[in-house]
This record gives sequence, structure tokens and C-alpha cells, in this order.
Amino acid sequence: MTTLENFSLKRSLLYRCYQQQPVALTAEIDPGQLSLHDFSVKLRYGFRGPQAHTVLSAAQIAVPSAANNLCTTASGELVLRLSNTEYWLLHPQAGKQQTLLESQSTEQCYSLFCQDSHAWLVLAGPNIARVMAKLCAVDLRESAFPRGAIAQTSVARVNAIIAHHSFGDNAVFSILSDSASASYLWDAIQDAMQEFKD
Amino acid sequence: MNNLQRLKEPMGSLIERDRPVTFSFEGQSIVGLAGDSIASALLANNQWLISRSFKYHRPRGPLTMAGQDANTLVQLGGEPNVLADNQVIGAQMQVSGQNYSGSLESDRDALLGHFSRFMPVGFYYRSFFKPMGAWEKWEGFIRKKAGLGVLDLEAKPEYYDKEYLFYDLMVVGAGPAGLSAALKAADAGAQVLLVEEQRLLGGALSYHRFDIQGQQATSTLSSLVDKVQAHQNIQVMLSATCNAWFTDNYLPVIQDKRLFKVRVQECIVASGAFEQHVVFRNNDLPGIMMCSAASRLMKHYAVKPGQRAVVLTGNDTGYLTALDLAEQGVQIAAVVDMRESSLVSELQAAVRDAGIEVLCNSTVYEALATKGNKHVRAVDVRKISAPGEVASQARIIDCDLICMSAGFMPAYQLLCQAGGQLSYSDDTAQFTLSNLPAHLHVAGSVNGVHQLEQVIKDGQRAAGVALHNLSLGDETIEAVTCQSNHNYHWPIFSHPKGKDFVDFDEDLQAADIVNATRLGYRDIQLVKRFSTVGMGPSQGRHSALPTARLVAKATKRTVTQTGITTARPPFVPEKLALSAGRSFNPVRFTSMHHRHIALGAQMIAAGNWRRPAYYGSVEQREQAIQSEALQVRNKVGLIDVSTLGGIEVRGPDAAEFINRIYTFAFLKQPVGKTRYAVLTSEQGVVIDDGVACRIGENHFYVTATTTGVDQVYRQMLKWNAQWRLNIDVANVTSAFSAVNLAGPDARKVLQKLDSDVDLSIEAFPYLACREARIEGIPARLLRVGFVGELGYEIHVPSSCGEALWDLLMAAGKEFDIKPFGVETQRLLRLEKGHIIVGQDTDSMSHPGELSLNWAVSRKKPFFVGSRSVDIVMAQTQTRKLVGFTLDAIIEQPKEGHLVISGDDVAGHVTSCEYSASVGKCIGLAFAAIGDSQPGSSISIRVDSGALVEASVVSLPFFDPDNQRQEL
Repeated sequence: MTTLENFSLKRSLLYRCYQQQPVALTAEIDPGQLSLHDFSVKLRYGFRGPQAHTVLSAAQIAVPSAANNLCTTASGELVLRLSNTEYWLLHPQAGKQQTLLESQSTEQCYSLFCQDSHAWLVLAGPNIARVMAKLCAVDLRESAFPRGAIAQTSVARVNAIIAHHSFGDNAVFSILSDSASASYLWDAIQDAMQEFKD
Repeated sequence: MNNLQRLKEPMGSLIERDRPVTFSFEGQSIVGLAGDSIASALLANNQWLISRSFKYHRPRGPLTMAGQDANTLVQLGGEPNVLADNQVIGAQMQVSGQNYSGSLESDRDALLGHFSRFMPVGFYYRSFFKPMGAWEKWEGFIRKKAGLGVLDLEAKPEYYDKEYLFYDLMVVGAGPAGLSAALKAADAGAQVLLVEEQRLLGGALSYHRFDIQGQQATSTLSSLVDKVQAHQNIQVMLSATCNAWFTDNYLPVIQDKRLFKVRVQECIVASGAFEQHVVFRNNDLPGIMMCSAASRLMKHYAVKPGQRAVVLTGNDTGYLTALDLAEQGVQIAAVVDMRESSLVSELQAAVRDAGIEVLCNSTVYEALATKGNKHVRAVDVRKISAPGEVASQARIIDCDLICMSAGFMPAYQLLCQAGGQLSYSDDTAQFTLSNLPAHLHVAGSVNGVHQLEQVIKDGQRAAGVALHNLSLGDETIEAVTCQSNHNYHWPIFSHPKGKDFVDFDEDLQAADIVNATRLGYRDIQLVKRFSTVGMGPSQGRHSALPTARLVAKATKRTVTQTGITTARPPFVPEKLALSAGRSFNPVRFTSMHHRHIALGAQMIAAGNWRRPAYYGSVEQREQAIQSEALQVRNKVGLIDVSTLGGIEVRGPDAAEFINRIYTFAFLKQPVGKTRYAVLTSEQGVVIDDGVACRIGENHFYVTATTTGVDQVYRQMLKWNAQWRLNIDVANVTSAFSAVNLAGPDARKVLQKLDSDVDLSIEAFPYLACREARIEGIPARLLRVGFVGELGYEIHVPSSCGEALWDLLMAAGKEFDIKPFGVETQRLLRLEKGHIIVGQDTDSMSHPGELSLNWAVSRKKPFFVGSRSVDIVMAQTQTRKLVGFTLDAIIEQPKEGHLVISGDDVAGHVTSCEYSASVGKCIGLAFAAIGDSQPGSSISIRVDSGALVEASVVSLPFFDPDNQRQEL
């Protein structure tokens, strides 16, 4: 019998896109190189509802004070506040897996399905704002979109959440977007990156 | 002249003298210098004839040397209408002229010019429409003559794309006003984008002489450019055109093959002004150009524009140009000043001191041409006797160059696109701009300021206003005024023999404009449309003002009363590739997509999803579908249904919400059961359907159609914004992958896998739903019967979808499991008489027409559309969706074929397939209500035009007792 711990059952919808680019699957970021990474299989979960803030607070998870902002916990989790009542928790370093249906909803605090509904891409390195300027109408330059900011917008005509945050010592964009469109978006971002690559 | 005879430095700021570049023009090898434009390289090689005019095929050479006119449109390889005075030469370029018959030098169609009196403006509209049938005879000839250049129909697409840019301030134009504005704003901390259409910074500073000594421009240019280039807050874009102004300073800028979509808080337009020509006979000959063009040729390209020049001017610019020309060795035959005397006496004195004759109150009445109108050879100069009129006595002056300057027209296009009002003073012949929107500012000569010191101050003034708006400055802003007058009030000298061109693009002469007014087109906009003046590539840059003057005079009004034509985007011709390039067309793949590809599926679009239609070759389509259908009926098949919409509804009011949204009753739906869910619009029309699964007391998982789920989700959010029920609604379509395992052996296949659900008929009956784990994968299992067989819809997290497919295909191997596609599923569900919303329904279909009365609860007080459903179903029904059959040998109807009842169209076929299981063609169609009972027949008009008789039958076509799906 296989179990859920058998990771071969759980696959990023993107894995064929970067079979020739192993760096894409790693969390090792070279700050001197523009790179795109697939974090889709990394743990994330979300909660929404009037009691979501209370539930997270009870779990000793600090949350941003306003929507469209994020903060980082001591353990490296990213806490994204997407609205007054919606929070996503991203674990860029975590390796363990979370299942869709294991996140139990409680009254007034409903678990979301971001682990599977959204792919998680990370764009890192120099010129990331210019790369995104070829795909997205929001000003993502550091001066207008500092670390800790979130934009819920359209990237290459696909709905996306863009989070600007630190990963190690590097500033990166996490892009959370429709998992079914992920390979399309992967190609679109790769195409936009070409002129900035060595 | 050749490259060895180029003018000495500092002339030639754009060329590299030690880098020759060879290209071809009209098949002849031409050697230019790196940095040359095509036009400058040709002129350096004494090739003045560059192209032919649009209508009369007259020889044309450079007019502006700034890409502001259509005189130098050439064919560059496969690309027509390239501006030769802008395009930089490259090695091996293949350049040719345009619009000639025979050769550029010897154009047979040049004879057309002799018949110009028979081709007055508007003659197209009035000449070819009668007698009846005349157009058909003329059309081929006219179409052959129409258009410029040759399209390469074999051209390969090139990479064009787009990019957003964001700045505090954008300055359009890097002349002295733009440079000073950018510097002041950047010094105050603003992030500035400086956009310049030309290849170098400086604008007029780079070619124009501002003072008698000729020192002022050089020193000012050096100072400003050095500071701008060193400034960290200024981003410079050269060879970039701001092609429009849109609301809130949304500014498209074109540079090379990229369209930049610029968003700025403040915008300063310092676009300069277009030098204007003088209207006289033969004013279009090669060798006649703007004063600024001659200056650009010398300063930018070190090309001597002629040997002996006449400068025709209505302002001081001509005098300064004459000084420049003389310094570079051009003999100045005369400065012909249309004014009674030069306004700056020292300037006139300086010119006379240089030995140049000055003829005041005079004009060029006619330019005399060499053979074939190839070049100017002399001018007929006459005294001006009245505005637009000359004395009879002529003085012929030999020359090979005429430089002219009638004045300057603001480059107002972007500003007028923004709603700015361009006003003209009939007294001073000057323009002013007003009514600009907030955050859009104007500076420099486009603002009517021409004196260099004032231009620089005006740029700083505009920057000051912008900085104030950006909260980066609070200094007092003082207005800048300018006393100089650059515009001569009537530089139009019509000639009885014509060829006194107002619009070079369209070969429009002064009489053409006047004649348009005589035909009743008094409004300037009507004159434009009737005569096509200003509609060519230069978009009225030089023709708008003389046209306004001519119309004003002809209609006995002032220019102010007449106005000028409207400026609309784009500012310069814009390649469609810039808009089309790198367009985004999102496509969605299920987690099992690559398994389908590996199995040979033919993929089709379903919205932006890609789904397998069937598995096999296109040639074997029908066999593949029939084979897959029989496989499901007889054994077991597997279809990817991940594209089905999925919506989670959770919360204490979930059942109440579902009950209000859908037509059926859901309040008492047991947990663990599914129920068919029909959604009607407020108009009572069926707009979607799916299955509502009650996962828990306060938890529903609802499916929706592939292309309808977004609409359903929006509707749910909209309604609950009003109802305020205590629920959460989430669109989880992409979160779940799903398959339908269907066929008599479906249970056996599923039992092969390790799961924690009892699959027996007793424990898991038809229409039940269960949460379970299959080989450890969390899953939702639904026993539904869309294809009419024992089946399980299995919904799993999308990250596990591919693994689930693999597991089921492996488990089903011993049962000969086969995948089946959407086309097969359409046939299978048709056999069961199940409708597809959108295919078997239209925008008028209510539940009664679709025989869905059973799915509408009459006991509950409300559902969305209930009132309308009651109304439309209470009315006399006129049509109904019915099942029909035909003998297989009859021509098969297709979807959309009409159902004919007597003389009327009663409806149309919505689905029709051949069913091997039924042994007939089966289908669904809207039929007249009188023909809707089983046993009736309906007439269907098929492709051949024949009427095919079909029998109306009861549904379903297959397994009428629905026993198979309930096994």
C-alpha cells in the first residue's frame, strides 16, 4: 500500500517544464542570476472567515495589520493577508506535505485550497521588477512595491497574487496563480526573462 | 559629392567617418557612413530622387530630414513605407523607391501629372459610380494604382512585445525645453523618463543656429546633455516615439520592436514645432526643403545640401540658415524674405555683411525644374503685391537648393488628444494651447516660446508645476513670455498652372482645397474628408495650417473661426505588430494532460481548457468515438473531467443558500447524497447545471459546467452580497482533478485499489457521494450517471490527479480499460437524453422547454429566476426539446440545422450522432409543440437542402429504465 507520504503521488503540474532546468526545483537562489523556481509542492494553506484572525492568533501566528501585506514568522513562514478575513500561510522551507482535505474548517474559519488551486512560482535575481513589467500592469519596483507588499492582479492575463518578500538575503517575488494555467504562465515568465539572462 | 566630400567636423554629429557602410538603392550599390540615414547617404551620393508622389508620381526628395513627411517613403526589403530620413543604413540593406511604373528615374505614370486638371479632388467619388457597372470596370485599374509599396506576403513573424514603465514624470521631447524640464525635476528628486523621437538629445540645439555667432546652441547643448546623461534620476529613451496621450497620463511609447505602456503622474510635452513650407508652384521638387532640413543635413550628417541656394523665409530662421550654409561653402544666391523687412536688423546686417543679397517683401512664385522635374534649377522671384498675390515682373535666379521657412506649427497632436484647445491669432499668426488636463503640461516652442533663453525657462517653469503636483517643490511659478514671431501670415502663392502643393502626401494643390469649399464643404473636417488633406502619413503636420488659411479665405472667415482638423492617436503610423506582439492567450491544462497526449488524444478547446476529444488519428475519428463508446457500454472507460467546475459552499446557511440558488429542493438533501442542480437566470432561462453533493450538514460541493463555472461563481457571490447568508463560497475548480470511471466493470476496477470506502451497491448506491482515500489520495467519490453506466466520478487534489489516472489505468488493465474523450462522452450522454447546457439550450430555454420540470421545486418559496420561470412556463409553449431518430442511411443532420414546420422554422437540431448502441442516428432538436409528442415526425433541412423526416421518440434512447447506471 502506498501512503500519502509517498510523494510520487503528489506532483507539481509544472514538473515537465523544467526537466532541463533542475535549478527551478531547488530553493537555492543565486542573487546574481535571474531565475524562476517552482515551489508548487511546498506546503501552503489558507483560511478565510470572520474567525480566521482569531484562529491564527490562537496558534501564535502573527498576522499583518492590513490587507495586501505579508509578514514572516520566526520559522520562516510567510503570512499573507489577502483581505480583512483571508490569510494564506506559505512554507518556503518546509518539506512536509499537507493534503487538501486535511485542513479542517471550523465555524467561521474555512480552510482554503491554495495548495492545489494555485501554483507557487518564485522569481528571483536582478531585474525581477522589469521582467514582471512585461507581464503585469502593476508597478512592482521596490519604491512602489516594497518587501512585504502584495498585489492581487493579472499576470499575462492570468489572475495572480504577487508577494514581494525576502528569501534568505534575497528579495524575490512569489507568484501564486491558477495551477491549471501554471505551465502557460511558466512559459510566459521564461519568455519575459530571456533578455535579462546572461 | 561623395563621402570624401563630406563637410568637416564638427559637422556630422551622427556619422562615423571611418566606418563606411554599403547598401543598395534601386539595385545600385551606395556607400554611406555608419550613422547615416538612408536619405543622407543617398544625398551624399548625389541621389536626390528618393521616391515618387502618391497621385501624380512626381519626383520627391527629402523635405524635413526628420521623418515628418511622406516624401521619403521607401521600400526596405519586404517592408514598405519606411521613412528614409529616419531609417539608419545597415550593411546589405536593399532599398528602393516606391510608387512608380517602370523605373524610379523613368516613371511612366509621371504623365499623370499632365492630366491633373482632369483629376480634381474628389473625382474618384464622382467619376466611377455610373453608369451602372462602371465601377466593376474601373476597380481593377484603380486598385492596381492604389497603395504605396509592396507587402511581403511570405514575411516571417518577428518578435514584438510590450512593457510597462512607471515614473513620476515623463518629458516628451529632448530639446532645450525638455532637457531643462527633466533636469529641474530630477534635481528635485523626481524619477524622470525623457523620451526623444530622434537619435540624439538636444532637439533644435543639435542643428539650429540660435545666434549670429553660432555659439549659443553648441555651448547650451553640451551643458544640458552632459548633465542629463549623468543624472541618476533621468532615464533617457532615444529613437522613441510617444504615440498618444490617454487619460491619466497613460502614454504608449514605441521604441524599436517594443511598445512601452508608460504610466506617470506628471507629463510635460516639449515636442517642439514643425517648420512650415511655403506654397508656390513646384514647391515639391527635389532640392527644395525646410531650412531645418538643410541644417540637419549639415550638422547631423555633414552633407552639403547644395551648391547655390535661395533661402525663402518669413522669419529670422532663414537668415540663420543662410549663415550656416554660407559657412559650409554653399553660395547663397539670395535670401528672399516675405516680410517687408527683417525684424532683427543686426541679423539682416550680418547676412548682408556675408555678401548675401536680401530681397524683402518678395517670394518665390515658381521653382523651375530640370528635365523630368528631377531637381530644382532656378526660381522665379517676385515682389509680393498683396497677401497671396505677386507682381508680374519676375526675376529668375539660378540655384540647386531652396530652403524655406514660413513659420512653425506647434507639435500639438498629443496635447489635443488630451483635450487641449489649439487657438490661432489671426493678427499675429501665432498659436496658443489651452484647456490642458491636470498633470499635463507644455513647454518650449510647442507652447509658442522660441527664444532659447525663454525656452529653457519655460521648461523649468513646467517642471516647477509638475514638482508642485508631486509634492517635491513649492516655488512660485512665473509665466514665461516670448516676443519673437516666427510665423508669416500668408505664405501661400497660388499659381494658375497649379502644382502649388499644400499637402505633399496626397498631391493636393491650393486649388484643390479651394474647390472643395466651392462644392459646399465649408467645414474644415468635411474639407479634410472630401479632399483627403491631412490624411496621409504626415497627418497634416504641414498641410493643416495652409488648409485652414485657404478654407478661411474661401469661406470669408478667419482661421480662428475655421479651426484645424482634429488630432487623434496614433501620432505616427504604428505597426500592427506592436499591438499584436506577444499577446497573452492563457491556456489551462488538467493534471492528466500529458497522459492524454502520450495516449494519442486529439485535443480540443473547451473555453481556455484543453480536453481530449478522442484517442486516435484524425482520419479514424468516427471509428475511435464509436469504439470508445462501445468500450464504456460493454467494459470500462476512463475520462478526464477535471475541467468541470467545482464550488465549495460552507457554513451554517449552506443548505439555505443552495436552495435559493438552484431550482431543486436542497434543504432536506441527506448528507452523502448528490442531487441534480439546475441554475436559472433571473429571466427564467437555464444557464447552467451540475451536481450538488452534500459533504456535511453545512458543506456542499457543487459541480458546474466547464465554461459556466466562472459565471456561476460570480452569481453566487453577487446573490450572497445581497442575502448576507452565513456561508463561504470558494471556486475550487483548479484545486480538484477528476475522472469518471464508467462502465459495467467500473466497480471492479476501483475495488482493485486500496481504499477506505465500501463500494457495494448497498453501501454506496447510485447518487451517493463519499469522502475516501484511494491509495492514500484523499478523494471525493460521486456515483452519477451522465453517460448512463455504472460510474464513479472521483475528485482528488489536482496535484494527485496524474497519479490517480495512472493508478486507475493500471488497475483497469485486466479489464481492458480504455480512455475515452469528450466527443465520446457527448455521444454517450446523448444516448441517455442528457442535455448539455449551452449546446442543447439557448438564451430562451426555460425548464419546461427542456423537460426539466422534475428538477424545479414548486414547494419552496424562492429560487433565483423562480418568478420568471413561473411566468414563462405559464404561457402557451411554442417549442420543446425532443429526441428524434433517423435511419442511419439517411443524410445525417448537423447541429444547427433547421427544423421546418410548414412554412415556419420551428427550431433547430442541437445534437445529432450515430449511435451504434441504438443502431440509428439519434439527436435532440427544438420542435414545434404540436410535433413534440413521441410518434410525431419533424422535418429537418440538411446541408444538401433536402428535408429529412425524423421520428420523435421518448427519451432516453438507450437503457430506458436506467438500470445500467444503478447497478
